Amino acid sequence: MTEETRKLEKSQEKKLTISKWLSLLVIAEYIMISILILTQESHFLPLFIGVFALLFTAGTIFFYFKDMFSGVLKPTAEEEAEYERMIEQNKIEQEKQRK
Amino acid sequence: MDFTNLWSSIDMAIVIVYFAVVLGIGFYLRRRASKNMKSFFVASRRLTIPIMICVAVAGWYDSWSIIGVAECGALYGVSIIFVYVIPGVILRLPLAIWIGPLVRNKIPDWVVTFPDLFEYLYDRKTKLVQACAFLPVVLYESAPLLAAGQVLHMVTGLNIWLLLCLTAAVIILYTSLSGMFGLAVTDMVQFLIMGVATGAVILGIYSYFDGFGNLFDQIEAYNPNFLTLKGEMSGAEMFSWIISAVAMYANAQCYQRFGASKTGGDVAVSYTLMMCFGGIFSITWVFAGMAALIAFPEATSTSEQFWAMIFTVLPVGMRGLFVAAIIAAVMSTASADMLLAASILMTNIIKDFLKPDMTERQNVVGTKIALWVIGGFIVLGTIFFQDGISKAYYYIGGFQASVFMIPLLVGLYYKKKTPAAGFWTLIICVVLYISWEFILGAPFGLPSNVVTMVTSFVLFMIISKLTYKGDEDKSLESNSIQ
Repeated sequence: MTEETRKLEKSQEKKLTISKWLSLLVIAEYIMISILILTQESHFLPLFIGVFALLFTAGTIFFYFKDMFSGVLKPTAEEEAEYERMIEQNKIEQEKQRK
Repeated sequence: MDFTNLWSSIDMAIVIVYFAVVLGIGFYLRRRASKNMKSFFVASRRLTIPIMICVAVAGWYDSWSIIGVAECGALYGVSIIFVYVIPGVILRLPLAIWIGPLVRNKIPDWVVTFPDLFEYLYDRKTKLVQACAFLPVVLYESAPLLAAGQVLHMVTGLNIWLLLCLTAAVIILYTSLSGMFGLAVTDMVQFLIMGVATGAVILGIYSYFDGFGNLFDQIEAYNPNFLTLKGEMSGAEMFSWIISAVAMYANAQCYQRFGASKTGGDVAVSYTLMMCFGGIFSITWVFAGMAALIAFPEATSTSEQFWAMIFTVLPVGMRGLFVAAIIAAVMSTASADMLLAASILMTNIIKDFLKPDMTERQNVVGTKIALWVIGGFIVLGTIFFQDGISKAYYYIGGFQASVFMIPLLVGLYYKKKTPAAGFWTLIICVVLYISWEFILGAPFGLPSNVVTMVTSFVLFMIISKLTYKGDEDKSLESNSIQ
């Protein structure tokens, strides 16, 4: 097992543990919302929903832009080279077909 | 009610800007998605947690999740939250924390589409049956597309067919240009618009009723059962709503997104985080539906009540954003389903069975052409769903869940499954669902999806027992990480 694979597995395990805790949070969140709705709690309900939604949305947007523009959208040098090779290959194939 | 006089040029400009932005993204990302099927269909398996959240939210929450859920709020009160919204979130957690990571970590790289997964679990014959049975499912998108067309028609007064074609053309154009990479970015735009519009509506309702206390009082005065756990639902009705929540387990979009993620851990975290938001989103729309019922009792339908509410509580500009949000909800789900169907048609049917010598480049180009063909069928399919989105949800959602769920889920975990079990269960259940629903008319009060799902499980187990010969174990759990 290489160092990289070990790192990947460790990070995966961490994420899977986080997700298990998050699922407990989800269950607690909806139990809380259910109680607030059934007791017709008119002040805390919108506050609870609003804060949760705002935190989630703001966090997602922040990390989205951080990840999207640093990793996913920006092609690696290897990918760029592969793309160029593919374009060349296509040109050669088209040329062959024309002939 | 005539809504055209409430629609301003600012609102129209916002909708036009929205269309321009999603098209612009498609053009910008076209190079990234044109390399091969893996880059086009699963974004080279590189999507990280926040990006996965956006594609998952925008893919799961369509116009049904806004207009449909609001109408349910007006019909059933808060009970719909307890029998549909919250069970929907809780029952999907195992999909997020176990099935998603399992599929992502253990599948080989060649498994790109939903039928590929069936080939991996069973064999090529089963894959072909699954691919053919899956294609008609994309017609579900006709219903949300029609909803978007109707909204645009309501506010602009333009011909509905023209609006349907225009919306479908924009969806196909940006999806065919940039594939899953494009979806990952446009879904973020759509997620943002849906989030902002939802927040604006809830604030508008809060200020219209001068606080939630007044809203609760007026709902209680209208119908006290609207604020109870069970409402006026029968036990069977409650059960059928709870069951509908598990349909997501047979949703091909989910498996495509699992495949597009960077690792299984990213799937688990992003999908559980999405549940935090998804339930709140739906609860908001249930309250919006109840508020519309109280504020506009004179309206002729729940749909009219809903739009009257939206156009009353939102100011100029925000109305345009809200209409853009509805279109965004439709576009994000429709684009993902169209991409799935086109890829399945080209890769899993034409390339795998009819033209195996097709190059990767030809496959990507063919998929783009298939997107336009499928888009045409979806526009034509709107004829079948003129009387509402719930019909599409019932027939097509029911078919998808009851036919594919058992071979897929049991196949993932059951070590003694056989290719014969997968193949025959799929074929018999397709025929059974169609016969039970459309020829026999669902006799004895037994819904087609329940009959098909039970039969599917029994058949699968019997055939597996009869044909198992101690073959090599192909359950995903037995594989190593790829």
